[in-house]
Parts: sequence; C-alpha cells; structure tokens
Amino acid sequence: MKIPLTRVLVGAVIALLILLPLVPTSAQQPRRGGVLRIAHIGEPPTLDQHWTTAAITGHIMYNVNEGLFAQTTRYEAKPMLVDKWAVSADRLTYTFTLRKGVKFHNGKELSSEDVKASLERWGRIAANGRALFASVASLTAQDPLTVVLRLREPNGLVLMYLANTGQSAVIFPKEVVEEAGTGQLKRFISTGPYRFVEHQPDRHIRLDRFEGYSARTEEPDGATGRKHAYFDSIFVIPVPDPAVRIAGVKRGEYQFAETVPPDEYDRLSADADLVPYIAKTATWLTAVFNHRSPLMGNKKIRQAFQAALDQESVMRASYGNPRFWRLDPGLMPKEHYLWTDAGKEYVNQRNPTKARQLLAESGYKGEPIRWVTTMEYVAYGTTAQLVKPLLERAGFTVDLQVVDWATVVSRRSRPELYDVFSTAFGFVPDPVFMLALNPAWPGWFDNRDVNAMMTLLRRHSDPKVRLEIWSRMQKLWYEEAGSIKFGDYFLLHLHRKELKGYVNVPTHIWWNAWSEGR
Amino acid sequence: MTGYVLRRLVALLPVLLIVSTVGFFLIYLTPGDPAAVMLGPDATAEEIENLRTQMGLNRPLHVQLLHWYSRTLRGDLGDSIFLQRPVRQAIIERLEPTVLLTSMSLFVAVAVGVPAGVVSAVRRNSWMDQVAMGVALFGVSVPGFWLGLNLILFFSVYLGLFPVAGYEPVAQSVVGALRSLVLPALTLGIGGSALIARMTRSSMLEVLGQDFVRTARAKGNQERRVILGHALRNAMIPTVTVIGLALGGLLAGAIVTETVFVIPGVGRLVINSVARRDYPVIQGVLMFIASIYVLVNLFIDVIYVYLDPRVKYA
Repeated sequence: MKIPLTRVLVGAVIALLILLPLVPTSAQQPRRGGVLRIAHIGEPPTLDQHWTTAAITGHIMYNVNEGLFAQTTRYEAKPMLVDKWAVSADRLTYTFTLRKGVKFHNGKELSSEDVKASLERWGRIAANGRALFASVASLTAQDPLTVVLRLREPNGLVLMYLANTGQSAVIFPKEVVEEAGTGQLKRFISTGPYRFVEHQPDRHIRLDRFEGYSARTEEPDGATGRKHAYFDSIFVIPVPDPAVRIAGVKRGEYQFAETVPPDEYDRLSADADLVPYIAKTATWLTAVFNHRSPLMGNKKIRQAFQAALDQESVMRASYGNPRFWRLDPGLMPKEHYLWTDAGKEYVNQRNPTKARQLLAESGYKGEPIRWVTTMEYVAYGTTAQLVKPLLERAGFTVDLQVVDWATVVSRRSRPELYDVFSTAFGFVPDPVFMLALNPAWPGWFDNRDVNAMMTLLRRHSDPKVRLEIWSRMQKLWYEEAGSIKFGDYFLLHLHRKELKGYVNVPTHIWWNAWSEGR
Repeated sequence: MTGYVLRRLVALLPVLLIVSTVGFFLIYLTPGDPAAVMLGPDATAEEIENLRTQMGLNRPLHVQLLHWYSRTLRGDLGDSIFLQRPVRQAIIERLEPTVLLTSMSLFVAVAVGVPAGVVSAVRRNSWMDQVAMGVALFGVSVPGFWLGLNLILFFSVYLGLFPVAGYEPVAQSVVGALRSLVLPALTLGIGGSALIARMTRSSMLEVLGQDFVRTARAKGNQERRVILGHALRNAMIPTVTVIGLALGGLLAGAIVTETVFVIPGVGRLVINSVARRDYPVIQGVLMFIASIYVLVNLFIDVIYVYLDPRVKYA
C-alpha cells in the first residue's frame, strides 16, 4: 500500500522532535577558551605555597604548582611528577623516578636537582615538611631523573606528606629556590597546567594556560590524573563583601564566588542562572583549650565544660540549614577510612548537673574563663555567645573577649593571655596532620599516651591497624577533653550554570573546568 | 601671601611628627602581628616567633621608632611586609583610583549639596526645604556600605548599567574608569552632600538677611542674580571650609566604599594593611593622609583670599 508523502513527512518531523533532545550536544563537551573570573574573599598573605598554611594561597597556586604526588577525591596519594616509585623491604628507602620531559613554565626540564632543592626547602620551612624531615636521613639526586629519600625510621605516611595540599610539597626550579634564600620566593614557576602571570594586589592574580604542559594520561580524580587547561586565563579577584560576590556572579562579571552565606542558599537555588555549591569536605568548628593555663590545665574543668554543652543547638543556631552542618564525633570525616565514633558518649551531653559536679570536684573558685573569639568569622563569635550562658548555667564565669582575627592569632600563641580560643580545623588527610593533637600548636594538648600512639600511627601503613590505633587515640582525646569539637560544617560557594567541571576535592581544582559560554 | 604659604608648609613638619609617633605606638601596641597573619592559621608559636625575629619585630619599640624616623627623614617609608615592594610605590600605585573617586565624590557632594542648600534657604519652610533637608539627613545617617550595596543591586544587577565592582585603569579606558566609579562616587558623595547642604542653607539664610542683599533687590536686580551673584558668593566662605572638611570625610569614607566596590585605592590598602598588621604601610598611609589634610586646609585658606577680598595674609 502506498503511504501518502504528507504522512511520511509528518511522521519524520514528529520523530525528529522526539529524538533531537536526546542527541548529545556540543555543550556537553568541554570548550577551550574564555576567561574564568573568580571572586575570592580577599588577598592571600603570600603566593609561596611552602611559606604559608593559609588556604587561599593553596586555592590559587595549586593550579600552578605540582608535587611528586597528589591526592584523589578519596584522599589517596597518587603519583603526579613521579613516573614510578619503590620502597625498600625495610621501608627506609624510597626511590622516586621522575617523569621524563616534564617542563617548567620557563621551559626548563624537570630534574632531580629541582626536586631535591624544593623538598629540602619545604622540609626546612613548612610545618609538615619539618615533621617528615625529622625522620629523613638523606635526600639525594641519584641521577637526573631519580631521587632517593632515606629515612631514619619507618614512616607509613611519606607519600601522604608529599601529596598533602596544605603548605604543599610542590616543586620549583632549583635556581628559583636558591634565589629565595631564607625568604619567600621571588618568582612563581612550577609545572602545573596554568602558569603565574602577574599579581596586582587588590586587583587580581592572573594565571594563563601553560601551552607546554605535560599531562598525565590517567582519568582525572581529584588533584590526580589528566589535567586540561581549558580556560585561556584565570583571574582571581579579591572581593571581600559576600553580597558583592553574589551580585557579581548574578551579573556574570564573575563565574565563581568563594564562600557565600549559607542562609542565601534557598534564594540562590531559585535562580536558574546560578548553582549554589555545597563543599564536599567538612570543616570542624572548635573551642581550643589552653592546656598551659591554670584553669584549662585542670582536667575536671575541661570535662565540666564538655558536659555542659548542647552542641546540636549551637550548630543549628550558628549554621541554620541542616545541609550545612552535622553533629559527628569523628575527628576524621565520615567519608574517610579512619572515621570512628569512639568517644561519642562525650559529645552533646547537655548535662549541667554533671558539669556542676565536675566543677565542684575540680576546686574551681569562679575565676573567669577567658575565651578569645572573633566576629570576623561569624560562626566563631556566634558559637561563643551561645555557649556562654550554657557554661554559666553550669557554674562557670566566662570572660568573652571578642577581637579581630589578627588579635586572636596573636594572643593564642601566648598561654598567659587566654584559656580558650575559637577557631575551625579544615580537612586533613590523616590524623598525623591534625593540629588539635599537635603538642607544639596553640592549645598545647600534650598527652603522653596520645603522643605515643601518634608515633605508632606514623609508622604503620596497614589501614586496619591504623584504624585501631586511631580509635583509641580519639577516645582518649575525648576522655581527656582535649578540646571541643562542636560539629562539622560545610562551606557554600556559588557559580554560574555555564561553569562546568569544577571540582572541590581535595582543594579548588580549576584545571578541567570550562565554560559553556554566555 | 608667599610667606604665609611657606610658613604653613613648614608647620606641616611637627604635624607629621606627632601623627607618625602617635600612629606608631597605636599600631605597635595593638595586639596581633604580621608574622602570624603571613604564616597562616596552622603555624606554630615557634614558627611565628622565628619570622618575627627575621622581620625585626622583636627589637625594642624605641629602637624600631628611631629606625623609622631616620628612614623617613631620608624619604624612605620602608617596604611593605606583604606586598614585597616599597610603601611609597604601593601608595603611588593606588593613587589614581582614590584621586578619581575622591574628585568625583566631591563633585557629587557639591553638585547635590550646594543647590539643595540654596533651594532650602530661598524656599525656607516650604516642602522643598523639608525634602532637601530630609535627603540631607538620609545621606548623613545611612551607612555607606548599605547604600553602596543597594546601588549595586539596583543599577548593576537589575538595570545592568554599571559594573558590580572593580576598577578599570585610565590607561586601559578613560570611560571604563569613570564608569566603574559612578556608583562608588554616588555612595560617598550623597553622604558628603548632607553637611554641605546644611551649611549652605544656614550661610545663605544669614546672608539673605543682610542689607546689601536688600539693596541689590532694591536696585532692580533679577532675583537669580541676587541669589547666585551676590548672596551665594558671600555664603560660600563658610561652605568652602566645610567642603574642605568633607574632603577629609570622603577620604575616610573611601575605605569602606573601596572595600565594597573592590576599588584598589589607598583606602583599600590601609584596611587590608590594618587587618594583616602591615606596619610600614599603615604608617606610610597615615603620613600620607595627614599631609593631604594639611595641604587641603592650606588650599582652602588660600581660596579665601579670592572669595573674600577682605582676607589678607601677611
């Protein structure tokens, strides 16, 4: 039977209309080109990643710098500048073979001398570097592509130290390290997919695509694997006011805004042009006890403080929407293999009676607890103000000192000036990096048993053994009331819908991001 | 006149000495230090102390002060701890946006304030008077950051007429530079116009009651000529003083406005430097602003000679 032509045509049009949306468009494929403008919260104190622990420095320069290893989205250490590596049977000698033909931004080829110079500098000036190098016997450039690291004692975390994003063990040309001497770097040259172009303070930091980048071939995973610099340039602009950051993204002047207020989430979600992005890694809000003060050096006073807290109410009042916070006894995040709830009975006790009893047993005479906090980070000051009446109900006298952040940072180094201070601890890939357990860090939590277990934790690499050790450490930390973990919170960032491929773990990853255009 | 100007310039020196000494002690006695800010929140006390020693911050205060005096007398304001460049260079780099912003804000303040004051005085107790003084009250009461954010929302986000924030240097585009300063200038200028409006109003009221104004009207002059040609010129003398003072307020207000609008000016420089305790920059900017105040007041005094022929300086 002959089908009329008009029916055929109508059928074809209908089929096209049904099938056409299913065809992948070019918008799904990364597009090369364009400029990425990022509104950040302010200026970094320095661009030298060895020099500072400030997160903003890493956010920017980790797109320029690379290290021997990097972290995946599960915080495992994977090779970046290393081609292959081997560990001796006694676990004291690490042999790293570098990838051949990797270029620095100035065209020079990466060699073992550059690695030696950079790691020695990092081992001298970075806290994590010093921690690792305390167990390093020697670091030698065996041949142009081979670096040999010899340890005095086994350390199960060598690769994790080298992969960590905070104050990172990134590699610079030897001459750049030498010209810095004992000061900061004068030039910013590394091997990353973007190269540093200029820093105009209070205007922008500019990175351009590095055309000579030597990419790995593996699938991207966090900071590891293949990296593409799709954008021609990246501008990081300091925009201190969050409302202006939001307005700029709304208007399209910026494609990304760092840290916007969580209470804007619902309003921003309703805007089809905007994508509110909840950070994947948690930060934990804390009140750090000064163990060198006569008051907080008293274990029963610390335990009384702990018992008096209603942490759920405090976190709800500080962060509001439950998307942005959670109560969790784990000092390592839930997503980590070392997560444990050991010590959970000490969390959120809401027991002023027990607190009063502990205070009475402690010999406390009503001396004011000097708590240094700030409203520059609103949650710190808010939390302190919420906790103060809870403590007073339990019999504490609290002297709340609200100052600017620079004053908090200054005062907390002087044990005679305070008893408690407010801060937050960002994610660390392993408890050995945890400041709350570092006897040298303000707060000075120095427990013999915890320190001994920390030494064991550094030595072992078996996950089951490490989890067992860590669970005991965490429980002891809670029993001793080392400090207070109020809860986990998650930052809210904002970007335009055209921005694709942005990754937030283990840090801000701008390589592999692109824009669909506007 | 020349002698008078020279004497006033020489008088700048003790002013700068007092400002620099008081500023020095205020800055150094404030808690917080640049080493801790530089190294970041995770630095240990030992690391901070090592950097403080490296920076020379552990030297006795009087040694640091004397060192600063001797350097400043040679014209050297020192190097910024954070910007890795001389303080003088850091200030010069930021002058362009601040000078432009202050000039535009002053223009707005005068263009709004003087006519508002004149209208208020001429139409005293009328609805125009009430509205003008109401706007003046609003301008002096509303916080600059609130006004700025709302101007951004309305003119940038909703209407798309101006950029949200940022500054385009004149070398790249004159129009772009001016365009990026319109909203900040309105923010600052509206606040600054309030005082100018009120002073103009009260001066005009005083002048309008004087005999020479009655004589001018009796001679048959048009009202416009009486107001603008005779009365306003005489009323401007105290108003010019207020404009000079308003300039100081604009420089101070620029700190908040530059931060909100992301203008890389001197105000932004000083607020960042205070936050991170960049001592050399704070001191350098203090000296700079004190000098500006003194020079502006000198300029105003010189203008009096041309406004009021009765004023003579020996």
